[in-house]
Formats: sequence, structure tokens, C-alpha cells
Amino acid sequence: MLTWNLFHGRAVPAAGRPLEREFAAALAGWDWDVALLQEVPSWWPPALARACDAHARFALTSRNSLAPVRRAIARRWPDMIKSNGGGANTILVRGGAPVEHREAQLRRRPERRVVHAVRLAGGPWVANLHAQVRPHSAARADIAAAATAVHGWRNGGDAVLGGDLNVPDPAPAGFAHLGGRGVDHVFAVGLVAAAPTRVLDRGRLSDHAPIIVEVEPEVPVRA
Amino acid sequence: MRRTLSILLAAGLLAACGGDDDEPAAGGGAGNGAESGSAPPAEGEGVQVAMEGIAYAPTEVEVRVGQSVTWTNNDEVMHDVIASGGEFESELFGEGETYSFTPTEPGTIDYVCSIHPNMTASITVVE
Repeated sequence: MLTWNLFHGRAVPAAGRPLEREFAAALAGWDWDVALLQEVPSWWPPALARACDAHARFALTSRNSLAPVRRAIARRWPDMIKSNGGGANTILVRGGAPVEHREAQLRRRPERRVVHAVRLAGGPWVANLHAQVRPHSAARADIAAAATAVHGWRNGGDAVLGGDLNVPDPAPAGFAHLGGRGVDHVFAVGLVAAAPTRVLDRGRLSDHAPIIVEVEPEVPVRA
Repeated sequence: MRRTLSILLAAGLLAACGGDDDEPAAGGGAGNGAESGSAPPAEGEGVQVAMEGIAYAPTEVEVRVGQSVTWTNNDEVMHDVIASGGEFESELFGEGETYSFTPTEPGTIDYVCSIHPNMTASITVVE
């Protein structure tokens, strides 16, 4: 399980040009089954999916009105328009296509925030969240609402909830912490971490480092 | 030429509309948390720490009990300051914004930015 905030497809320091290929190449080169991505330019998910040989499911977040205009600008001057190019959260799944995709809006102000999730074929729900950046109370409210939504979707089954939760100590009710770094975390119910969290080298891409959390069933299946 | 000009004008308008998801409009100057204040301390009263290039500068400062430390974010990305011992915990704040903390007892306080965990520094507080 990978989670990464793409910083609206930008680098630190600013590259001054579109970086879609670089982000796609980085994602394609890492070993993961499911990638939870936040702050994804809203037109990137299909291209990322192709590059990674994966299936994409995304949920629009904020600043997506007049999308063609925003997109045209962002493709030329991504560091000028920043998040105003329009954003999405995206789940990439390698292997079989997700059998279901659900989305719940958490807030409309000051930014539209959503939690969305896919149900993997024969497996758990995997949910992706980018919580409100501040105050911490708003981020915690988003986390709580997202946890409630995912518990409703999973209907007693296993589930993962991860993403950029925008607080250093998130605690979604009913979920166990599997790993994380900074504000980027992965939680689960019915699943446990199989290895310590790994931080991937992304060079200058984004201001967040991607992390990998390996998960496995809480009770190993015996042959 | 006309198309490029139109796009430039639209870009200016869109860029001016609101802040960024994780990058609020610069120049807010508002601190975060109970210990914060929007105005920098008067000269000679406090210590300044810059947040630049995804790093604190300087990474080690020494202050007296009762002397404030003020962090100013000079990066275009958001940062915060989280003390490992729980002495202070700011919200994330953007370019041009500040956060202040005034220690009340001597000791060493290590702190970190939650988004950028390699961004670490410490404060030594003396009587």
C-alpha cells in the first residue's frame, strides 16, 4: 500500500514545467498493489493508470470549475496556478479491477474534501483521504467523518483508510495504525502491518515523501 | 498571440482566487496555537527562526526562560513546528506566516515539521 500527496504535480523547488511524466515514471517504478494519491491534477488519473498498468478511480476535490481553462493554464505554468489547476484524490489498483467505488463528501468549506474508497476483488475496502489542512480540529473532524463512512461501506469486512490526514497524530475510530510518517498515515481494520513503513526516494517531486506500508490479514490463512 | 494573452489573463485571475489546499495565500501573518502571535517580538526580546528550503535556520537556538522563539515560513509550502516532548504544537502555516512559543522552564526541546520529518531542530532554554 502506497500513499503519496502529489503536491498538484509540482516539485520543490519549483521545476517551472509540467512534471506529469516524471510523477508517472516514479509511480510506475515502485512496487505496490494499491496507491492512494492526494492533490492529483484532475486530468492525470487515466495517464497515471496507463503508466502504472493499473486501474484508476478518482474523486474530484476542489477548484474544478472552468476545468478546461484551469487545465490549459496548469499544463503551461503549473507553479503559477498551483492548486487552482483543479484537484482530485486518486486510487490506483494493480491487478484485478476494483469491483466498487464509493465517495462521500466531508465538507464544502473552505475546501471541498472527500473520502473515497474501492472494494478490491475478493478483498477489503481501501479508502483514500486528504483531510482539511487546518485547523487541526477540522482535520480531525474530516478523519472522524471518513472513518464513519468507511465503516458503513465495509459492512463488517476488512478495510484500509490512508492518505494525507494533515495531523501528526490521527486516530480514526475503530482503525488500528499500521504505519506512517509525518501527516501521511495508513490505518486498517482486520489487517496488520507486515513490515515497517518504508519511505521512498522521490527526488524533488512533491513536498511529501511517498510511503509504503505492507499489509496482510490479521489472522494468517493456513494452507 | 491572442490565445496566449487570454490564457495569461485567466491564469492571473485564477491564481488570485483563493489560496492553495496546503498553501494559503501569503502574507497572512497569523500565528497558530495558544502560544502564537501574529506580530514578531520586539527587537532584543525574542529569537527568530526561518523556515527556508525545507529546513529550519538556524537548527539550534538558545533562549532564556520567558524569551520567545518565532518561526517565519519563507517557503511556498506549508510547515509546522511540533515539539517532541509536547511543549508546543502549531497548526500548519503558509508562506509569510509566523508562529511563536515562549518557554517557561529550562531544558532542551527538539522539534520537527510534521509534513517534512527530516526538517528537525532544537531549542536550548536556559535560566
